Amino acid sequence: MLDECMTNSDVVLDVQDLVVHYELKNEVVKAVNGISFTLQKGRSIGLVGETGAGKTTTALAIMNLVPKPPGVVKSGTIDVCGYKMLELKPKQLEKIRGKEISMIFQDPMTSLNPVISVGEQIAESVKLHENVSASEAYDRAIEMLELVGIPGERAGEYPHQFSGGMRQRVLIAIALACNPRILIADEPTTALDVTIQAQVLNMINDLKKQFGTALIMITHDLGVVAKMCDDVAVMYAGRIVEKGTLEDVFNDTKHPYTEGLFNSLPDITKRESELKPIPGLIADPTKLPEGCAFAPRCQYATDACRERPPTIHQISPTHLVECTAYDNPGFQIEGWQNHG
Amino acid sequence: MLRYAVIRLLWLIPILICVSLIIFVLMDAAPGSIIDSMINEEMTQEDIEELKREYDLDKSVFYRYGKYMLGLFRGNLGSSEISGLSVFDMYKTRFPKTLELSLLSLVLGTLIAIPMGIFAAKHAGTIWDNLTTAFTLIGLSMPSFWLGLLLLIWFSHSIKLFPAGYDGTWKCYVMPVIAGGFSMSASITRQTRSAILDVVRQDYLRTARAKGVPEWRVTVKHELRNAWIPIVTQIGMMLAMTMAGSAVIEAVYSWPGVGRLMIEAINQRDTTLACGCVILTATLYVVLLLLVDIVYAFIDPRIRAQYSAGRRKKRRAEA
Amino acid sequence: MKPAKRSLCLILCIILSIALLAGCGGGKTESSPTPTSGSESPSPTKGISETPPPTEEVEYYEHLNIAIGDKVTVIDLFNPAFGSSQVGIISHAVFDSLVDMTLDNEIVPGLATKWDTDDYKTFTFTLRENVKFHNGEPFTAEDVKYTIERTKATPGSIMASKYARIESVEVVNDYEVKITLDSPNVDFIADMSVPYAGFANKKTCEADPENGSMIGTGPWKVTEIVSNDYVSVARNDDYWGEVPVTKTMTFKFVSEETARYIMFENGDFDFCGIGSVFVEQYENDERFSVESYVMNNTNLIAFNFKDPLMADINFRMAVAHAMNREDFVNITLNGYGVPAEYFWGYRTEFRNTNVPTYEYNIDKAKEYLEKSKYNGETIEIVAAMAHPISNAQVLQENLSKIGVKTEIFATDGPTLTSYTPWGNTDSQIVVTSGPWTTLASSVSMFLMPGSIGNKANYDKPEMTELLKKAAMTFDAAEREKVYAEIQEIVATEIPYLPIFNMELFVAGWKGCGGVKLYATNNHDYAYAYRIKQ
Repeated sequence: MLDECMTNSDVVLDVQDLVVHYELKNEVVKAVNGISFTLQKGRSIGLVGETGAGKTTTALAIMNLVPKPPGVVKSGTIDVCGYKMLELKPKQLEKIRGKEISMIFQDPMTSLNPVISVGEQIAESVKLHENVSASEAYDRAIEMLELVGIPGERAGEYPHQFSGGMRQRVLIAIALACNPRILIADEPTTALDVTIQAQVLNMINDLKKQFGTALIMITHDLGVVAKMCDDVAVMYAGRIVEKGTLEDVFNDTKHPYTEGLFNSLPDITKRESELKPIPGLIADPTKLPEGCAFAPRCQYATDACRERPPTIHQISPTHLVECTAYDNPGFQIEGWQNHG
Repeated sequence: MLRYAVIRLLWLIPILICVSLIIFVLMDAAPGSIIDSMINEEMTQEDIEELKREYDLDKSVFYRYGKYMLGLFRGNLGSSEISGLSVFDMYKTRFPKTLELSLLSLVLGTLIAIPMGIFAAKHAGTIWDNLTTAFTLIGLSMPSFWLGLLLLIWFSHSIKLFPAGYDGTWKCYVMPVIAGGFSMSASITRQTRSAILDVVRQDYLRTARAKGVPEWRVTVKHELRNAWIPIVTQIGMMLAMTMAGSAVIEAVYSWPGVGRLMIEAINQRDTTLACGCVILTATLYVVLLLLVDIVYAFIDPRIRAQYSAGRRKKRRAEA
Repeated sequence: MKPAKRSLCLILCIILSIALLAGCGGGKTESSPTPTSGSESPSPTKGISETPPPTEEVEYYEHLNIAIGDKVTVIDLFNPAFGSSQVGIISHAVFDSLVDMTLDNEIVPGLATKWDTDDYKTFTFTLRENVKFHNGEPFTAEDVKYTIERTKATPGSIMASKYARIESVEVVNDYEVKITLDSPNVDFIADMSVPYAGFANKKTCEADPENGSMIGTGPWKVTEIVSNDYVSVARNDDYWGEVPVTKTMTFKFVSEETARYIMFENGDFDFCGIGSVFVEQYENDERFSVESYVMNNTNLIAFNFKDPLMADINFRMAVAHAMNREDFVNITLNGYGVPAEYFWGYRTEFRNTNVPTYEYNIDKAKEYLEKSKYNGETIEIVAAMAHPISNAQVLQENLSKIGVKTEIFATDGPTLTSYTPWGNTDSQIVVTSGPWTTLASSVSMFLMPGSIGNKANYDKPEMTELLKKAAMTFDAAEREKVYAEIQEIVATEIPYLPIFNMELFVAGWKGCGGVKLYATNNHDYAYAYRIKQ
């Protein structure tokens, strides 16, 4: 039966060597090029990177929702609570989605069906996965709305009657209605105002604690990561270039790209200093080089970096970095610079 | 919503006035007049002058129009100038036949079109989509009377399956309904296909799938419910168009409907009858489109909100 | 009957019998022209126009379906809309006239058993007794008076212009009526013999103004009429004359030709008028019989005399020589027609064949064109309906061979009618088909100034005098001479050029018969029958 988590261990998600390409008519977009990570029960991991790094594709792949033409999962395994997501049949997948693992998406304005009431949309999820009557499901929906801070009597209203922030909360209610073990949040606050951002993030945190949900927070905002996540995985050009706990990555930054990300942040206290962006443009996923994908923009790059794929170094049991530069034991990045 | 409907119906008055005036002026401008079908070559000039006076043709078109409108305001559509029968009665006897034909054609057309449109949209870009497009192109470019004639020849002549004209049994409905339904289904298919294609890209479908909604339900409950609006519009328009008298199909199958009635009235320059038909058909059209709009309100809550714009739903803007 | 009338009838009978014999059957006689090249004169498998039904014990179909050629809008003697092309067919069934005309142009008693006149101005009719209308009301002289007076008062009704010449109607007693004209008219009796010179019942019409005028005295009563669609009639078992063998009939108009033929072949119609294209096919089909007749109307080309170029005799002569009548018959009629040399109606009385005719000769045509005022301008030809339009195109082609440029304005019936009368037209040539009756007096339609049918706008006092004279000449032989002169003038001045006379066909299923096909298209289906095979 697909009712409970098939494994009793702590690991709720295990991704190994995932490769996902989009095969178009004239070119192949290599979106995800071999990533691996695990997630434990109740913990949260932040998937950080710029747009185009492959974060959303990873998330979709985990749900097996990558649009089939043109998307192709070339290799890898995904284990959600012991279920092999890439091998299951659609009927089985439908049972898992929404029940064991849920996702909320980036744009709340378009993610809700405009002709169905919000209460109905939440209740739909409940009815699909739990053996309850329609009215019970609806009651549950009202409960969820209250949980996310929306008055229950608004359950009969339609999405166009809510603001962006409220819609995102409805989506969270939908995602958590059946108490999934994993929640994937794909840039949930990017489209919202800064003040609302804080509210929504707080709410996600509270709920996460309340239900013990594991969280994958996809974002390009390091601030959000700092606030929400236990672990961090930095992605570039479809690979995880640095992975570790929050401590590891923020305080003991190893990868030049991660360093560049931190350097790019404006410092609100130093108003007169100049911004220090990473030179160059993000790698073109249709034309990835032989060697390290970041090499063209890296100030530390050597010939070795450009010639072959970067070496994987396990700095500590929790901290991993993919960088050929660390072949040289004495190598160190400059670290966060004080600007100016 | 009631207020909205009433306002739409009130618009009927200026519409009918405009439409009737146009008909009158056009019929007057057309060469020939009603007496021309009555003139035989043995009449003298005085006879003809007298005939003209009889039908008020010696007075200006505005006089005749005025007389007509006066009658109209009293609720009297007048009598056909040629046959003397009441316009309303003539229309009333023939209208049910046109209605039957239109409705049946529409049902057939829709039953074919919507699944086909969904199918084509789901398989967009593949050979199935191309075949469907070919089918719609054929349906759109094939004149319905030609198809009507072909059916007539095949199934009434070569194989004597169905009768060639109206004879009161159910059999005589088959061919006209197919001919009418086929051309209708072509445009509805196209409309369905593009409506679904439009919807298919929407984000909320991704949300539904992420919830674990089975694929068929995604199609029916989420996609189709949003795609209905343009499809319903198209269906409404098609129905109105065929009701206005599928004159062509009626001519081919000798169907006793209003399309033929109107054409005959125009051919004989029977202004009263033609105008009466047009007025009744215009009214029908307006009412039908109103019904379509009301149906929208049931489908799309956003539109429902617009109709009740008078009543405010509290829109709380805070997050 | 008066001796003059008797000899007239005899002459007519002879002429027409010969023509009739020539028309049906393969035999050819000198006095009638034969159909042209290509197809043989069709030898129809006869059956449809045999008049008396066979007397052995046969079983008849109780109901007949007849396809008619145009729609019937109303059945009402007093409504102008009744005067469509099908008025004759319906009237033969539903109404009776005072007198009838047979296929041989003989006048026989109808509702009047006797008629008398001294001066062709006052006529006394003795009416048949014990005639009942369809609703049981008796037919009396009052009804005659009522019908005539009401018709006169209704402008546009079919007999209005004929009855206009009636000054007074006097009811002498129930069965005797005296009709006085305003001036003598030799054709009055013949005028009264048309099938639509029927009578309605005064009492019924006054009681039921809407439908009262549908009640007639004929062998059939109207049971249902759906305007522009069909008319259903039921046999009048109390008819004063011979009662038909069929019980009910439906006359139906199907506008779509394909559908009409399919229905005929499916058996949904027992009789159907057919186009020349189908003649061969149906003749060779054992299930059907086909009957043909030559239409009385002569299709004509009219020159608009108001136009200076058309008024030029040389131009008209050029056109006369440029016309190749074979082309017209072959192209417009698929060969089923008779090229006409004479302007006169095919079976109209007093036909004069001793008049100049113009053969097809391109060189002569060009000669005349040189002499004429033609200067290269484009001439407009106007025509309405399929055949005249086709003829216009043939004419255009013929004329282009001699270098005359033309432009065709093709339109529909009502437009043409309003476009052409009384010199208001811009068109120089009108292609038309004249409604010739069997009476010579119908020629005045074409030649009398002010007449709608005078498409040539012909106005010569000499001719007008002759026309009036003819109407006043009581002696038939004298009259013939006047009409002969009229025809000569027309043939010399050629305001009209004849094209052809159409051959028409009616098809029926095997066993069909009893239909009288008139050259004027007012067919009589009253005694139609179909024998079960």
